[in-house]
Amino acid sequence: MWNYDKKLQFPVKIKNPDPRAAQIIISQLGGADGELAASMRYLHQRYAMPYDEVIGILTDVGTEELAHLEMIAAILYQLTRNLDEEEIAKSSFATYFVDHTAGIYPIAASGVPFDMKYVGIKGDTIADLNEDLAAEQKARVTYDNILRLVDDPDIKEPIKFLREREIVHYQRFCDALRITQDHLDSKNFYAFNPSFDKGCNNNVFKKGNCNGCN
Amino acid sequence: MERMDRMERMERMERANRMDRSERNERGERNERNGCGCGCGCNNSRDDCASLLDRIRKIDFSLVETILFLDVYPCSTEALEYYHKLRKMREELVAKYQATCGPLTAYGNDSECEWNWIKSPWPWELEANR
Repeated sequence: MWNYDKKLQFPVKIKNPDPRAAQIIISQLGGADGELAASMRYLHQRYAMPYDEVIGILTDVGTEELAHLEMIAAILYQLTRNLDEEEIAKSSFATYFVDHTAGIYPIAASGVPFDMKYVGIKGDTIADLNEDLAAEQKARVTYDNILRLVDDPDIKEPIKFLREREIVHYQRFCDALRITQDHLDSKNFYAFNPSFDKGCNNNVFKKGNCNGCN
Repeated sequence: MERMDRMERMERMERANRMDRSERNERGERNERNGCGCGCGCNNSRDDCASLLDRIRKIDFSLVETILFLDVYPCSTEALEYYHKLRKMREELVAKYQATCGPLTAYGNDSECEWNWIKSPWPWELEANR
């Protein structure tokens, strides 16, 4: 189950509201490569996984992505406070405002609302982990693009943090894939689906204690 | 008379919608009690609390990094030692924060007379990130 810490993982202190920046950054809330997609992807993939390390990393990265979702929401909240109606009317944010006012709604910058179709869960260990590697890279690129389009250092600080986290998550999923391959026969990694076919699961903690590491 | 009340209410609502929630809370315009007034022991200054929370943020970040590492390198004794070192530091900081600033989790409401858990500011407000 989930606990909630009443703090953002990394502080968000945006002095100047900016609806145009909000219109762009919202893709990391409800877009295909955003934090909601990421958290749903990892938290749901973990159920079919056969190895403790893989389940562990999917659980913990998935939980961290929920924290990132909250950070993006905080960025959007601070960018859309105290807005002047004329300012809104002039900006690209107007088309969001008409339907959602200053509410926080998971949608992409293009206006397409969040969709579970963005989340790939194939129920195959190798396929799912490769989906995760790609997802982290795509998220990183999206943050790269946001950094190109935004100048305010108050906005850039939390965005740079989130971008760095995507890169670290990518490394950890690489580790998870390597661990998976270590469990399998290198002559044929695809001989069976470890997420479905039974009887071939060798967890590191076979006996559930630290001696299992030897 | 009724029309005056309605207009007053509408004006107030419009004004309120233009302000931060935390500002409105200070002016008592928010529709909630400002604490039970029984002295909650939340006697630490805002600056001290902000600085404590910042230290907790940093430790939690190191902890998350260590946790993710341990998930895929569970046999690393060095990482596990570091995890325990961080955890001990965290316990001390969190205990101090919750005793003097407010709860970090819903399980951490130390006050026995006030439900400080729901007190503003919330993490996404500027006030909570100074």
